[in-house]
Amino acid sequence: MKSKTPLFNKHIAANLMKRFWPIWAAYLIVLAFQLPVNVFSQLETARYFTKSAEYFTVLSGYGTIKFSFIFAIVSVTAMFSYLYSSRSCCMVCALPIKRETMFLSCAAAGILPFLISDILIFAVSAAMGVAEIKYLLLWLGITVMGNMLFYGMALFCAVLTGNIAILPLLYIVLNFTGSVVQNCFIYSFSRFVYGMRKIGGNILGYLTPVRVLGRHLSVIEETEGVIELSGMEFLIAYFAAGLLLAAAAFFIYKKRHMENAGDIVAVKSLRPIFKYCMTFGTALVLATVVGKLLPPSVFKGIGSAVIVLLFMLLGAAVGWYGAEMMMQKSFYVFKSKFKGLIISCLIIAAVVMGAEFNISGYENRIPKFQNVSSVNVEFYNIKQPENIEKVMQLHESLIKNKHSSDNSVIPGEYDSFVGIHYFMNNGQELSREYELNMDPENFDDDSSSLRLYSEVINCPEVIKQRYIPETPVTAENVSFCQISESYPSEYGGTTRNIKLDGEQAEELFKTCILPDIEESLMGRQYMDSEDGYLDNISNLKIEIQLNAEFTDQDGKFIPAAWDGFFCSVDLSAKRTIKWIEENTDLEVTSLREVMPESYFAY
Amino acid sequence: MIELRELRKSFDGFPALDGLNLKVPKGAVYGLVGPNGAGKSTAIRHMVGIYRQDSGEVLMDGKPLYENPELKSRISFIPDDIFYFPQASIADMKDYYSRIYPNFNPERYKELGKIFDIDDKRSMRKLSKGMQKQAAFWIAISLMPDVVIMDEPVDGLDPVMRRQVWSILLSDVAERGTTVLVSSHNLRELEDVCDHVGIMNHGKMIVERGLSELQDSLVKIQLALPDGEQLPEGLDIVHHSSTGRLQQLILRGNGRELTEQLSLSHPLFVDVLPLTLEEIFIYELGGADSEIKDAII
Repeated sequence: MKSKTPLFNKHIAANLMKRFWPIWAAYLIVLAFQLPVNVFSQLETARYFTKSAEYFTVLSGYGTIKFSFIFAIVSVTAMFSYLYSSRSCCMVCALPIKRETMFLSCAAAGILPFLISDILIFAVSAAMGVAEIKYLLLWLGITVMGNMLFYGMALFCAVLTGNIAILPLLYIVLNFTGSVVQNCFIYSFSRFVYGMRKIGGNILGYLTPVRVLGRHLSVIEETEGVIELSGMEFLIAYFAAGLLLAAAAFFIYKKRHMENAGDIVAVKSLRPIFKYCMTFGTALVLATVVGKLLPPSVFKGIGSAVIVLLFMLLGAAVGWYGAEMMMQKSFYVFKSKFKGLIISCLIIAAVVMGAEFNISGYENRIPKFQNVSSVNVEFYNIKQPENIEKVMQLHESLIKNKHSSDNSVIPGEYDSFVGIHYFMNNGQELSREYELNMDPENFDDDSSSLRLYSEVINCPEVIKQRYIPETPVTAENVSFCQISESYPSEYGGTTRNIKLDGEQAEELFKTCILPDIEESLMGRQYMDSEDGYLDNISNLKIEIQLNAEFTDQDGKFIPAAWDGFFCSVDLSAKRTIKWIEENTDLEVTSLREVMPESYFAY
Repeated sequence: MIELRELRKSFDGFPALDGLNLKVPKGAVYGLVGPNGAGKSTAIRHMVGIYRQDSGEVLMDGKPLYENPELKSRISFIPDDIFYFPQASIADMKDYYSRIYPNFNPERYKELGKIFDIDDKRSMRKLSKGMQKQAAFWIAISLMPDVVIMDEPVDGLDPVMRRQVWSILLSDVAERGTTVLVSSHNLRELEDVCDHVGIMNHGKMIVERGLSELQDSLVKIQLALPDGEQLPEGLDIVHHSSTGRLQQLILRGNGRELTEQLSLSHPLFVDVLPLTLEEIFIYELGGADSEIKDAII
């Protein structure tokens, strides 16, 4: 009976683990500092937080993920180093060991020491009583998943290339390509696609696990000992992806030709993919780099698309021949076939020109009012239907006035940006960003984008978001309140402050400030180029500082990050002004009255 | 014992092996020779299971060799460029191989240590190239292989050690029936040890025979013919040159039969000389566009 081939050779694995012991030692030391040492250190130094050991334990698990990113590629490079030299490859492949056995033995040798270190640190921490076992197990789970996620990615990269210098580069590219491609695409195309945001987008960003995990993984301890985790679903999904990539690496390794040791792309069938990725990738990157270097005034009108296209075509050629040079290991590749380059250039031209001439209708797209649940304008979230309708009117105006921003006499002088982000009832989102022409003349036109924008950001719903604090304004919560009366001068000026107690602050806020804001009589935001600021704003400012509700282990209040109310008093805020006049001796006048003459000379 | 059938292998479109047929009988000492770029090393790497062929078969004892650990455990391979782990000593490499090859013989290793006389605790990278080769032989022979495959093996060894290594190998051939395949450009040396020869060129086998059979099938004849006499018809002439009346012919055929044939021309002088392996190599490849070209310098 034919004996089964063992899938694991302990001698191969033991030899590798012994030879590369410094890697495991370094990892163990890092882990020891990440968990027990770090937790004790945080507990001792973080006097202003009532965070528990369990909180810091889970947090350190997230921190370990970043180290897994680095150690994974170091480990795989060591374990599979024989793949990248013809001599070592011949020696290993001549051994009487099947390929799957060799792969699994090397892969196991690279991950087992990490897992053993994880378990060791867990056991030591449990013995030291660093935190509750439940949270130490959570730490262990997070750490192991982080190890496997990046190890799987590193294995996948290791079997794709035959060049040891390329391996870490490929690993970094695989980890960050999603974000980089997305950002380059948005940056390049936003130069000429009207309304496209210059940053943002999430779709390809999910292909960047380091970034996504850094953003989404969090631990909150609102009440001591009650830990809330978020983002674990991402970690679990990436862990599964890491296992899949490891499995894919196994199958690729079995098929890989060993004579490709030293080649940039070790798997022949992937060479065209590499070439086209380099072509399109370099096209995007070059267009982005040039876009950052050239002055913005260059990107006006149809010329912007042409400029982006030219640099994308140049980048495509650089990427195409660069890939050929890398694969052929020679600079003399210009006689090689370029049919693929021509096709790539045609595709790029079609996409760019299609975007420039708005073939997809992207630039004109506005959602239907009944499909919108809320909309963000800048930092403000607008939910009230009448205000959503105002935003949509603004959006229509911005689309209609597309070419007015292109036709600025001095580009940039009167331009600002406005971002609009719709949230639909069905969960979809639509995001746009536009230059807003802030020319003062536009403000006189009721239908101008500038005027409509001003109406949106000065509706009561938005003013409240701008000024109203999260902490309730009550006499007990007020830690400080003053009204300042200022008289600017060439040499700085004078200020007179009247302090109010908690009851006065609460009365002023609830009976005067809030109702004035509700009627848009206070809190108006003036555009830089808008007239009326000096005439409509008084020389008074109101500041209310509030205690947030944090206590330490002894029940003592701890001052939180600043929360409060700080606003200039509009002359139209009749209730607020009346209260000030009745309760203080402050003189209410317009800013224009108190500004020094030298101010107007400029 | 080892057989390659219609073996084809291309690298980026270049056919390194183009229908190679090769047979190494059991217990033979087989010399694989050919000009630079003929495909010898490529063929050898198929025989030890490093490369996977595009088409054709690589067989050992009639079974496919690729990804066959049982067969590969009976093969010892000594490449032209030895690889060892950085920081490893000879003993470390020995330990590594001994745990993978089931037939490793520690007593043999100890005995051979007296012959090679190198401290096996020394780091491999501190040894000279020749000593590294010696270490490679030391370990390879200790694996008690049924087949030893060597690619340019004795380059870098001093003449004494060269003879010593061959002595050990040939004694294994005689006592254990070990099969040896060696690729080398040192044809003078191969002539002394090989009993089979295969001459490759452009990825194909040009000639493959027993050495004595090969030497019997190609002869060098020096003769002088009287005035007016011509060479008889029907001679398979590989090479013909003359200096005055003295003619030198390289002919295919049996020496005795060719002498009888030439006697029809009443030669003044006839002498049959055996060809060295080097001469066989040169003249066989001369028929395949590899003749030595006269250069005017």
